[in-house]
Amino acid sequence: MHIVNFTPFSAFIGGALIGLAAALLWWTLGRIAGVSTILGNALTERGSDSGWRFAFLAGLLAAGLGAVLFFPGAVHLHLAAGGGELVVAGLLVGVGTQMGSGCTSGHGVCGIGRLSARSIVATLSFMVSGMLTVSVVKHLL
Amino acid sequence: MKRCVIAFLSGLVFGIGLIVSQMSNPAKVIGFLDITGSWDPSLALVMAGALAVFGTVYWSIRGPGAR
Repeated sequence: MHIVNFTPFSAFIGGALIGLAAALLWWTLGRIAGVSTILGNALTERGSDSGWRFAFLAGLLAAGLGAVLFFPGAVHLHLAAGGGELVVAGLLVGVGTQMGSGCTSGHGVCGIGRLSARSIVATLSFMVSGMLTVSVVKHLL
Repeated sequence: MKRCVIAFLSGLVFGIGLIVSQMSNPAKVIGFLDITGSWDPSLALVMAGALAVFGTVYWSIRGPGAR
């Protein structure tokens, strides 16, 4: 193992912004900023209290769109996978996050931040299985 | 309406955080998972930054999310 492309400063600042966004959502609306769960529930749940999910997702997309339009130099995107692979990967992420009741944001940030045992186990599980998958696909196959 | 404005702002700041930390780039995430090869530890620092802010707010100001 050798360390490459390590960007500790921008990573920490960006992480702090993500934490701020999660804190804002939790403090004001009492909601957990778990992106996979917000997306899943936005697609399946109907009711008077579902508008905030679409607003959150719109904000998320607006940040990406704004960055591409106004700060294209800040957006780095390197994709090795093709269209078909992305569809399969997206489906797997969807199934996995629904089974695991969350992803890196809900479990990894909000759950660990709340010291939830379930979230600590979930985060360790998907990090370790992700590392195993990359090791196998990249170095053994 | 006010709830939607707050949720939009939260999503916006979350998205800016993903761009600034470069976690919107799949190569950075795969780099973190490639611990047996060319390892990019950045994702750990993203989580550290996020946990520092979220954890501080959660454990100091109990909001409506408190059980």
